[in-house]
Amino acid sequence: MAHVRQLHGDPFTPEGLVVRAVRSARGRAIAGFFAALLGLSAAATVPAEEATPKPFRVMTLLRFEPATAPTGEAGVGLDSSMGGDGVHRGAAADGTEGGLLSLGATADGTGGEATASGAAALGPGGPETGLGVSEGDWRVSLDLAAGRSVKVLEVKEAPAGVDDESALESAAREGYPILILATLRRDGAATVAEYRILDAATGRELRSGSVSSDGPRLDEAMRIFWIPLTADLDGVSPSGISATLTVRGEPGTTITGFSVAPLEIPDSGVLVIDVASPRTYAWRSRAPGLEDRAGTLTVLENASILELPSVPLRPWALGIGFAMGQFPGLEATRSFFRNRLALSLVLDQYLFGVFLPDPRDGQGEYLYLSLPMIMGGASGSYYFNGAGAALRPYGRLAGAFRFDTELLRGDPVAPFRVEANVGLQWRLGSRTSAFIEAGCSFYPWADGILMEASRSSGGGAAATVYGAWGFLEYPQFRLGLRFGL
Amino acid sequence: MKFLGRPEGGRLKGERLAKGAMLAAALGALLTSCWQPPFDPALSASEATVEKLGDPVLEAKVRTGSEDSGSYYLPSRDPDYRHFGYLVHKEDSGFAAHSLYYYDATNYILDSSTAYLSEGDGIGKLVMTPLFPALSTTLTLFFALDSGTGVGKLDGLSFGANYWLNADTVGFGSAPLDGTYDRLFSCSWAPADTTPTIYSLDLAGTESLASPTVSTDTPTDAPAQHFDDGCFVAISPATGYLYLSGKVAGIDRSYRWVAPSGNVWELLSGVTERLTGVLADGRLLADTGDELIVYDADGAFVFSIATGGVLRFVHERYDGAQWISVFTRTIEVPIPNEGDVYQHIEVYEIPSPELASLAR
Repeated sequence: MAHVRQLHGDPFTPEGLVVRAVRSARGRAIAGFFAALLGLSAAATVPAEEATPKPFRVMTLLRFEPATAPTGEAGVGLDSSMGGDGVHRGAAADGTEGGLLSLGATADGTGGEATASGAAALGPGGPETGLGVSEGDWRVSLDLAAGRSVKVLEVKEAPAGVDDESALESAAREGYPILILATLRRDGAATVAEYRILDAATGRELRSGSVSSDGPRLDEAMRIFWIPLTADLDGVSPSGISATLTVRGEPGTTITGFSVAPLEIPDSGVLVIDVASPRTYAWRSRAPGLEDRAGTLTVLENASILELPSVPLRPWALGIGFAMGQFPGLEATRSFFRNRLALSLVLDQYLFGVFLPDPRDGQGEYLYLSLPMIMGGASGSYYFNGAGAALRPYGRLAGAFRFDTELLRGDPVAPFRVEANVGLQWRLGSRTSAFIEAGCSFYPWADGILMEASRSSGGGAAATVYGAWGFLEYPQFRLGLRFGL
Repeated sequence: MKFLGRPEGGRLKGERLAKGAMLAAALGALLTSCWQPPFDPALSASEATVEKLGDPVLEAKVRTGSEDSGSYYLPSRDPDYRHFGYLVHKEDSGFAAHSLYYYDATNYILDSSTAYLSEGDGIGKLVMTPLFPALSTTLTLFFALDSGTGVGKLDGLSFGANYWLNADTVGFGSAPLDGTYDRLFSCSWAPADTTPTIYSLDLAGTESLASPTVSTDTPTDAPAQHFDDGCFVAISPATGYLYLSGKVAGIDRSYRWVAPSGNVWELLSGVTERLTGVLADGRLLADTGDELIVYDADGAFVFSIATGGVLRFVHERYDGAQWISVFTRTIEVPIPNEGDVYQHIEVYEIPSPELASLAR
């Protein structure tokens, strides 16, 4: 039985991440039969393996061994004037240096010059190896050959200078089920490559082979030299550390976190990929018209399904907020840019609010406070993360006109209010979120003295600054609920 | 083989902290719930009227102790000395003025005199309008005694002689007589009496209190019911009508006695609030605390002025050509952590014939 454990996601939403265990191929087939019998969704019965090939990721490690040619024979690198016979004629190393770069060194340095000229003729690619192709180009050629396999999703080179065991551990730890160990050396006029395809989890050798060619030239190295390796990769199936993860979601959904490049769910709605197991992945998904999703997934066994919830973006919302936790107000919101930007119409009021002053402050004993004022205005909020996140921090600017319902006109003391807040929105359900904001309220063109006097019996926890320029009150809080429509 | 554990562990912890902070902040906001919005309908109402009054003729600030909290500024009626005045505050038994304030031209503030008047000086119950001080530079203030039995005179900080009126005084009132004199009225009405007795007293700043005279127009009958203490009484200088306004068995009632037509009291049904003043042109005033209502001489509502209880009509003065209505507004701003307050004082004037321009 496969297990996929969710460490993080949207634990508060019923439509949140759903992870199911897939028991076996036989089980899926039986389930598919009954599902078809009952007319259930075809998507629910599509065997994950049949939907798309199962790519895996490959790590490569290429070493350059000393040539077997006699010491002192000058290596000349690739002769740019060399004909198209593919025979690499001049390369030789002194055999004394060993190590990774020994093939590129010549005893007297003339070869180095020739190599340099050859490399220059072939373009950049790193130190000349003495094989006519630079070391960097050889590595690229190996990576390209691996990447040509229909099974390979991505290729990464092992860290430089590591031994086989460390490379194997790196591949396993970083989620690369296959490690290719290759060595390259000169054998007379020929270039000989020997490679081993290893299962990164077990160290077991899955395939091995060798390739020999005169020369070759750069274009040959890039295109045809490693063909046997590519063919071998097509045939391997790394088991043990590799698990099949079936991602189900809306076609066109891009998901990141399981590979370097984003993956896109095809029209079938099912994407099957090989992933390392056990391993934990931090993933993110995005689809047109749907909320972004993110989560952390621990894959423990061979076959798992990750179903991405299709929660539509809800651009319209209603909210109720309590200024300082006391005075309720309403807001109607229209969101843009995948709900990152929210523009709201705001209606606040002081006609009714909870008021529980401390009697020791001399304000008397109250349960509520009623003042003849309503405030209408607009606000703009920018959310710093996607709509599907459980916690969404945001910044908010708001402006409102203060209307005195007793005088039936704008407040002559302070007709306008401007608010600047930072907020945090906490998703409680698919449509419901709680929020709290903190910031300050600024009253431009206000009579500061009158404003200060208006709260002369004590403004609670808020502090003020005032002058001829207006009146500033801080900190100001607002908390409440928002409902997606 | 090594595997990474929980790469998102740090974020999980951060989210828990964030949610915890949200809950704590929400709970804290709900529990405190003592914030008072920066809005006072009374101040806004006064500001709406001040906008129509224009720039103040005097603007000053004075620092006072908390004992002057709730005061309003009562300036001299002489425009050259309006920077002399009293801070008058309401007390349980009436109004009181603790000290004389004067304008410090160096520091552009009002400063208090060193001497303070004490309750023992008999200040309280009802402060009368200050007298036009003629050529005097001092402020003369007439006020009722605590006992309600007489009138005191305050000339600057010199507490002058009281004048005995009557032990059964139930109310006072005043009205401008001309550009030099005010006339003070008192109503004496013993429970056993069937009719009130009205006294009038001409007041001049530079003169001693004249002997009170019983008005020759004192009615010989009475309203249907006996007035409670604290009623307003005045004879209009423009019409000669006698007004008596106050609570009768707890209900505001206002009567008018028209002497020429005989001893008949008319109930002014249009006057719903207790009258507090009479203008030189005969119009009646009722300061309700939230607004200043203006009635005509017959008690019909004319208009009202929003004051919020912060802007106060204090008196009229005569500038040689017309009567000027004087308003003051005193805004109190506590000084944090010190207990004292700043009194921001403004004095406004408007010709009395233009009072209607202040209407709501």
